[in-house]
Formats: sequence, structure tokens, C-alpha cells
Amino acid sequence: MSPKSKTGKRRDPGDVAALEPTAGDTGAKVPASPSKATGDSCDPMDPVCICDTMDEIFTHYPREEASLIMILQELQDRFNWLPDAALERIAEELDIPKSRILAVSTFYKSFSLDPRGRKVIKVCTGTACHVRGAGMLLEEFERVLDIPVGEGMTDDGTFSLESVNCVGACAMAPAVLVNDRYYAKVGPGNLGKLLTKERES
Amino acid sequence: MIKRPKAFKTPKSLLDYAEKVKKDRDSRKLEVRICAGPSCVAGGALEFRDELQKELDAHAPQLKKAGLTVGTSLIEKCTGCHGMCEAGPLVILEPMEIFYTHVKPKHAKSIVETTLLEGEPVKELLYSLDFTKGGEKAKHHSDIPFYALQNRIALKNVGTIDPTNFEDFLLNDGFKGLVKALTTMTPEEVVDAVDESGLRGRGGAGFPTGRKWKSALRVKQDRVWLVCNGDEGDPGAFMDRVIMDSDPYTVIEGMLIAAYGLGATDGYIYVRHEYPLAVKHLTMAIENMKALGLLGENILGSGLNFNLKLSRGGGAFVCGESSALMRSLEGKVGEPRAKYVRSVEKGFKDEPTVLNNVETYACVPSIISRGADWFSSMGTAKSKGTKVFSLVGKVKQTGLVEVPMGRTLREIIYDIGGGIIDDRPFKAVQTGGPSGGCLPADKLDLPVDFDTLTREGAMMGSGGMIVMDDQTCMVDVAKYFIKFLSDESCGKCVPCREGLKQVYQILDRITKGEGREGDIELIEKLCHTMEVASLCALGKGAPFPVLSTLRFFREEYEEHIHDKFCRGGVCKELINFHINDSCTGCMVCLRHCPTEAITGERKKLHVIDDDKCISCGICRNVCKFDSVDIISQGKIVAGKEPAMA
Ligand SMILES: Cc1cc2nc3c(=O)[nH]c(=O)nc-3n(C[C@H](O)[C@H](O)[C@H](O)COP(=O)(O)O)c2cc1C
Ligand code: FES
Repeated sequence: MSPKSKTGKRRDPGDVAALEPTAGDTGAKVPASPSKATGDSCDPMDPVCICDTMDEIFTHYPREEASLIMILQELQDRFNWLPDAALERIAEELDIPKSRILAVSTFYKSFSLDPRGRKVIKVCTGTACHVRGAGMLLEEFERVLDIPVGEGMTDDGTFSLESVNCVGACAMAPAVLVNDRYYAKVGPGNLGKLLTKERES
Repeated sequence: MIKRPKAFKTPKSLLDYAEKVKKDRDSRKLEVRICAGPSCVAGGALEFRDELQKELDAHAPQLKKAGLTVGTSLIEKCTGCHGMCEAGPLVILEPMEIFYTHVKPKHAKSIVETTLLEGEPVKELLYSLDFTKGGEKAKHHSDIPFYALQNRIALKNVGTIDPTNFEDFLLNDGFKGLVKALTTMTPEEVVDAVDESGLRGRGGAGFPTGRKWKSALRVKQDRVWLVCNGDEGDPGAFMDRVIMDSDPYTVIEGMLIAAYGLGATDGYIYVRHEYPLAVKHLTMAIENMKALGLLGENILGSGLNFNLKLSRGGGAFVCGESSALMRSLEGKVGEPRAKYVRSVEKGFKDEPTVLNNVETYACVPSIISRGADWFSSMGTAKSKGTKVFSLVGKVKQTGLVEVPMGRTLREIIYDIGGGIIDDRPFKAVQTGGPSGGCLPADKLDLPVDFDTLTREGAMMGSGGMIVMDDQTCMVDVAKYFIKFLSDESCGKCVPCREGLKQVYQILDRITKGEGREGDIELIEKLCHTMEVASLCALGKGAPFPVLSTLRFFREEYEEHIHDKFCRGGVCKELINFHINDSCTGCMVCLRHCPTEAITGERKKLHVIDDDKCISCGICRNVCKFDSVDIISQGKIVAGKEPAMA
């Protein structure tokens, strides 16, 4: 993480420093931090900044419809959500109607059309976690963070809350994934510790 | 250290190198294997590794005196998932066969001083055979039933090799199957061998792999695509994740052998969105193999060309279905299409495509190197070989287990899994995921294979096994699956889209105590429509979780409807919480209660105010003394439950 994040300063969800890979990151062709291309003030709402990042993303893929999901994924990796201006740009570059892009980005759960927090908390509600109390856990997260699951982010822009169907740690249910870090056997009793740790890192 | 050649141009060069590595590693006396699967990492495995490294450095001179040089004769490495996630973080010492559980950073010192220097096990870290602290300890991992009763083929390298280390893979018979296929077999012989082995697809449907491959060979083709389905949508199943992130090379080797047999030149691995580590390790493996000439043009000088790419899923369950997956690979919305169009003729980009599951591919190298007869000697008449199951839910020893097909549910749940947590009564086991079903106690002696479970209204599916105890509500479980499927239905066909919604509404009102006379019959009718009229297997299979619970646990539905009684103590509207006499007055529940419904003083019995209580269950979850009971219709339905770690 950048030194800036250590100060725990309030950050804009679009703050590019927040997009650096965290521990256990996919490592798969980690996109260069967009700050290099766009400067530290990059604001995903601002079409000018989007352009630079988009230019770079487009160099990675052939300009055809088949690249759509991969482009959206890279965009999502960088901004944590899909800014509208970027979708406009994709429609133009790939020469496909924006409606098709919206169809794809609303069909797949991993895309978000709204800004999300710096850290996305994914509470597993898969079967194994369900029978070990994931429902209760999710409600408790909603209550503690004071945001509904799947919507918005905490006031300080740190957390968004989502539910997912399985994160593959079923043996340690209930499981939670924060960005790419796994937490096992999470319950109301240790949820506070999890949030403190994540807030600080 | 021996130098790895820049690229391998012939099978011999690969074998020669493997031989050299083997010789070099003969000097290795001791290996400390730290499980770095997500569960163990979440438990602090990496912090332990750091601490261990420090201790090894600090003790380097003594170790050297004992004949152990760190880096050559003593190696410390991170492996993939050992499988016994419940007991993690896990550390294994080979060749001593010492198996340590619940290892913390503070244990690094005693492991170095006691085990490495004195050759004695650290007793407190050994596995307890009866799950209690003071119980008898297992000296070797082969003494532990969880491992002793397994037979690992798809998981052969999982937990023993470092998934990022090419040499580790090579030493464990890596590429032996590929070399054998390329040097001694024709493509037809490869397909024949897979056919004769009796291997059936591990992705859920159990379609014979050899038959699929043979039908692909019959299609007139210019180009064949090969796809590996790593979407693993079944919630509660995680074997594909573990195979991909703990042994990525085996999956790719399986694909290469398939590519040779089928004449496929291009392929994709489609990995579930929530599996970052699998993406990372597969990407590394692909890049590495490309550089070494094991992917790309003229592989090992055999004339085999195969290009492999990785594609990440978007978090849609239906994309695990093969035709939807191919649409997704094309960059489109993942809607399935009708079954009569066959993928082997018109799949990805409308070109011939062969798609198999991760575990299916992972079995192929062993089948080729050890022979079809060897594989088909295991299992039952129609389900050959072994199958990996993810044993999860309310079972003592959760984790991944691989056993020959035909083992009974009881053997898997009780002998390997150690039975139910807290020795509570077993209620059901859910197999087959959202298209599967729940089986009750009197089915525990059924042999587990594709056909037996399907006959009983469940399904083996991809191998998820979710064990449920008496504190599970079967109506709630049915509702859970219907909600899941209704969220995940792509919405293309009416029976699935609307049917699921309606069934959900009915189940929801039943669990809220608002069920009506005739609701059960209505559900059955809707299920029938979905089963016959849905477009793809998502909708066709959707009724099974409901129908199987109706078949075996009908009385629970009736109790909800008629008596407003939930015997599992799960349905919020039908239960109350009550603090019993064992309360020590520790104030923990009081502090955690979100609605301030609990009152009481330190060391005095606490009381829950029913008017304020929202039945969230947190008090019960955080109570260390099992003092919170769940009551439905005046009856205590749930007393003791294990607190979470
Ligand atoms: C709704 C649905 C979801 C599926 N999800 C998966 C999955 O996640 N992984 C998988 O391997 N197969 C899945 N399948 C089965 C695939 O369609 C296909 O049969 C299988 O991947 C073929 O590989 P196999 O023959 O090696 O099993 C799913 C099927 C359906 C209908
Ligand atoms: S069901 Fe929660 S991790 Fe699999």
C-alpha cells in the first residue's frame, strides 16, 4: 500500500492509490497503477482522466466484441467499479451499442456500476456458510457498517459490502473475502477485529 | 543447484532434466511443508513461515552440526491445500511423516529446537485422534483416518508440492503422462485409453469423457477448441479451486494430453471470479510453460501445437453451464442455449469445442501414465476411479477428501469426517449443489456414485457434501437453494425465471409461519413445470432441492404450515431466544446485542426481552457457556451449539 493509505486519511473511492494490488492479489498481469498514466488526482467521474487509463487498457486487447468482458474486468480492477464515461468510450472503440455493454455489466455479478469502497467485503452466503450462520453474519455486517449489502459504501469510502455464493473456503465457514484476503470462521464475535485490521491496512 | 535449460525441445531433454533434479534433491533430508491454502493463510500460515525462517536462521549453526543445511538438505516450503482445513494452519515434516495442526508463529521455535534438532515431535501440535485436547495423538499422518482412508489421484500433488515450483511438479511424475502419450501413443490410442478407463466428467453430469472425445473426433473439423471449466459454481464445493491453485501444472498437462488426442490447437481455462490464487498460479504456470516450450508451437518436438489462455469468470453461476460458458468466453452475456446443438460441433465461436471440468482433466495424466485398467480397477461398475468430495457443514473434520467411488456416505461422513460436530444427531447431507438433493439418515449406507445418488433424488454433482445436523431447518435449506437459483437464473426462459420466483414466495411465507393449506401441492406442481419445460439444466434441476426435502422431510413443511413450528430453530418468525440457568452473567451477549434486548448485571442471570429481540442469534453465537436456548412453540429446539473460533 502507498504510504498515504497508512495514514487512514479519508479517500475518494476513485483515489487511484486505493487500486494497488493487495496481499494475495491475483498477480495476473497486474495493471500498472493508473496513477502513472493519469496523475494522482484521477477522478473516475472526470472523462479526461478516464481517457488516459482507457487508452492504456485498449493497448492490451484487440478492439473486438470478444474483448468486452476482459476490458470491463481490467477497468473494474483499476477503479473498483465501472464509470459511465468509460462505458461510453468502450462502446465507441469496439463499435457496439452501449446497451450491449450495459447488458453484460449488469449480467455479471462481479461488475459494479456504482462507486465502491476501497475495500470490498464479500461475505460468503454459499451453502456451507449458510448452514453455519452466514445469514446472521451478513446482517451484522450491514448493521455495523451501516450500509445495505450490495449498495454504496461507508461514509469514509473505505468499505462496500457484498454477498457472494462461495469463495472456496467452505471448510472454514463462514468465510469472508476482503478484496483478496480470506478470513475464516468469522462471527459476530470477531467481526470487529476484522474491520479494525482492514481499516488499518 | 542445477541449471534449468532455457527450453525443452525433446521429451528426452525433459526426462534428463527431471533425472538431474532428482539426483540433486537426493541430498534433501528434511522438508517442512507449510500449507498456504486460503484457510491456513487466514489462520496465520504466512506469519508462521516468517517466524520459522527467523528461527532457522538463528539456529543455522546447530542445524548444520546436525547435518541440516537450510536451503539444501533442509527445505522449508509453502504448498497448496493439505485438505484438512478444519485443523489448520497445517505443517507437515517429511520424511518423518509428522503432522502438526493449529500451528501458530510462536510454535516455530519449538519446532526447530525439538523436532529439527532433537528429532522429537512437539506433542501439543500433533493431531488428536479423538478431537479432544488430551486425546491420543497421531504420530504420523498415515495414522489419521482422514488421510489413511483416502486414495489420491486428482489430488496426487495437492499439498505435497509447491504449486509455483516447476521442479517440484516434475519430480512428482510431472509430464510423465504427456511424454508417454507423445512418444508411445497415437492420438486415437490416447482417446481410447480415456474411454476404456471409464472416466466420467467430474463437473456434475457425469458424461463419459471418452465418449465425448470420440464424438468430437467424428466431427469434420478445421479447428478444435479445448476448454477447461473452472467456474465451480456449486456453493460448498471447492475441489476445483484447490486443484487449480495447488497443482496447476497437472490441469494443464491433462489439457495437453487431450489436445494431442483431439487435435485441438487452442484452449481456454475459465476460472471462477472469486478464486484469485487459482488465477495467479495458473497464470504463472502457463507463462512458465510457454517459456519452456511446453505450450505453443511444436511442443517437445512432437509437432503438437497448443495455445492456452486463461479467462476469468464474471461471477455468474449459470456460466458454469457449458454453452453459457462459451458465450461468456466470447465476451457476451452468459445465456445457455438448447441442448440439441452439440458443442463438439458448434461450441465456442460456433466452432467444434470440447469442454471438461478441472478435476476431469486432472485425472487424465495418471490414466495415461498408469493405464486405463489401473483407473477402472477402482470404483463401481459404472462409476470408475476416485472422486474428490468437499466435506463441509456440521461435520467435525471438514476438508477435501478423495475416495474411490462406491464408498458409503457413512464412511465419508463418520470414518473420514469424524462425525457430526458435538456429536449431535445427523439430519441430512446435501449433495450435488443447487441441482442436487438432501438425503436423510436412513440413506447413509448408500454407496456414493453417479447413478445411485441420482436414483435417490439427489445427485453426486461436482462433489459438494454439506452435512447438516438437527439444528438445520429443511424448509429453510430448500428456500436457500431456490433463492440462490432465482438470483442466478439468466431469465431467458419463463418456467425457470417465473417458476423459481413463485416457489420462492411460497417457501418464504411458509418459513414465516404464513403457509397455507395446499401450498405443498402448489410447489410440487410448479416444480414439475420447471423440470420439464426449462431450457437448460439450471431450471430443469432447480426443483430437486425442494422435491428431495419434500420427499424425506415432508413433516417439517407440515409443521411449519400447521403448527407454526420450526424444529431446526432457524426460521426467525417462529422462534424465541431464552437464556437458561447456566448463564454466568459475563455480559458478553449483552454487549453484542444489536437491539439492547438483553438486560442483566455482572454475575447475574441475563434476560432477553422478547419485544425487543429480533432473533438475530448473535447472543447464542457469542455465548461461551451454551446458555442461550432457541424455543419454538414452547419447546426447546436448540440447546448447545459450538461457538465460532
Ligand atoms: C447451471 C449449471 C452450472 C454448472 N456449473 C458447472 C461448474 O461450475 N463447473 C463444471 O465443471 N461444470 C458445471 N456444469 C456442468 C457443465 O455444463 C458441463 O457438463 C461440465 O463442465 C462438463 O465437463 P465434464 O464432462 O468434465 O464434467 C454446470 C451445469 C449447469 C447446468
Ligand atoms: S460456501 Fe462459503 S466458502 Fe464455500
